[in-house]
Amino acid sequence: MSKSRKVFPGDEIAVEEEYAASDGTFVSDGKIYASQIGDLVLDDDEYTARVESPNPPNILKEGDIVYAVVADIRKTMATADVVAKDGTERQVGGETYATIHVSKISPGYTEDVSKELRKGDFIRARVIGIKPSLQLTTKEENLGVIRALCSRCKEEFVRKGENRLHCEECNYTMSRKLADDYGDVQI
Amino acid sequence: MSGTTDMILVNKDGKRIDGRTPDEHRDIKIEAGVLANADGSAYVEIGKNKVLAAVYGPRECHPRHLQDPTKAIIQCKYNMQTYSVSDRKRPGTDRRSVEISKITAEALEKVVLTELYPRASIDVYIEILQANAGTRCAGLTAASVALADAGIPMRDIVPAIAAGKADGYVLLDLNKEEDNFGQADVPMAIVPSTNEIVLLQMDGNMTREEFDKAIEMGVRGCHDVYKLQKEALLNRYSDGGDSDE
Repeated sequence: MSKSRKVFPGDEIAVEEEYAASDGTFVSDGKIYASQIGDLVLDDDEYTARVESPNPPNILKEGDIVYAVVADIRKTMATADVVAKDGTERQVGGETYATIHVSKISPGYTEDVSKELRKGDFIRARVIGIKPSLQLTTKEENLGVIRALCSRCKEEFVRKGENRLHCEECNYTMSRKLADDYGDVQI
Repeated sequence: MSGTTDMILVNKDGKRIDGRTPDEHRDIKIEAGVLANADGSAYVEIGKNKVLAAVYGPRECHPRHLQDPTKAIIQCKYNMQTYSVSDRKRPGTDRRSVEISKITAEALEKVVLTELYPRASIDVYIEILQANAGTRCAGLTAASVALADAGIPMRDIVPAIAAGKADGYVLLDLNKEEDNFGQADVPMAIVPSTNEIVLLQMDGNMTREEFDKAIEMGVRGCHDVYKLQKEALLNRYSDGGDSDE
C-alpha cells in the first residue's frame, strides 16, 4: 500500500506501465484516470491503481448477502427479486431478477422446490453468480426464508422444528428451508 | 432576445447593469450532498438562479422497453417550480422542459461511463427553484456535481455557462435583462480535461467573430465553474462526512 489522496473524476492518476487500472478508474491512451471522487490508492504490492469512493453505487457481486422476495416456483428453480443488499441502505443497482437452482436451495437433496420455498417468501441469500444472470444460493445455515405467510390465511408463520412452519391461526403446517434466525430478524 | 428596451445594458465603461465586466460571471455557490434520500445531490446558486439536482441509480430501468443491454441510460427531468418565475409558471412538462431534459441527458451521457451498467438507468432530477436566465446551465452544473456525489463513474465533471450578446457587446453569463433585451444567448457545456463541447445552443444572431469570442469566453467561464464544482465536492467529503447522511 502507499500514499492516499483525494481525486476527482477525470484526474490523471497513473500510467498503465506502472499500475493496472482497478475500481473507480478508467483508461484512455495508456493513462489511468479516476472515474469517481474518492481516495486514491496506489497499491505497490499488487500494482493496481484504484479509487475508494465514499458513496459507491450498490452493484451486486459474488459473495454478497442479499434480501429477496421469491417471485415464482418452477420445476428446477425458484426466481426471486432482490430488494436489498446486506450492510447498505442504497438501492440495488443493475440486475435484480435472480434465480435459485434446485441444487442450491438446501444442503441436502431437494426433491421438490415448493417444499423449500414458496412465492412471497422473504429470503436471505448469497450471490453465487452475476453472469449471464443473477444466481443465488440459500445453502448456508443463516440463509433461507426469514419471513413467510401462511398460504391459507396469510397470517405470519411461526417456526416449529428445524425446517417446519406452523400457522397458529388455521393450524396449517408447511416445510421450508429456514434461516437459523427465522422469526427474530431485525432489518 | 424577445423585447426591446431603452435600458442601457452595457455602459460606455463596459460595465453591466449588475456591475460586472463583460467577461465576469455572476456569484456562484455550489453545495454537494444536500438531500439525504437521493443517492447524490447538489444545490447551485448562480446569481439569482437557485437550482436543486438529485441523482438516483444506477438502478433497474423502468419502463423496461427503454433498457439498453449494452449500457445504462440517463433519464433526466428538468422541472421549473410554479414560483420560480415572476408570472406563475403553469406546472408540469412543456416543450421547453422536454428539450432541456434531452440536451442535459445527452451532455451527461458523454461523460458517464454508462457501459459499466448495462440495462440500468441513472435518473437525474433538476428542480429550478428560482430562475433568472441561464437555468439550463445551472441545472447541468448541479446535475454533474450530483452525479459525482452519487459516486457514478464518469470521465469528467461537466461545467456549463452561457455567453451572449447585448448592446453589441459579447458578454459572459447573461442575466435576465441581458437575456430578454440582448441580441444572442449561447449556452454551452464542456469537458474540462479535453475542452470538448458537449452542449452548445444559440438563440439570436451573432457574427462569426462574435461567436468565436463567445465560445472562448464560455470555455474560460466553464473552467471557473469547474473549479467551484471540485471545491464543493471536496468540502462534502473532506470534513469527515462520508457516504449518505
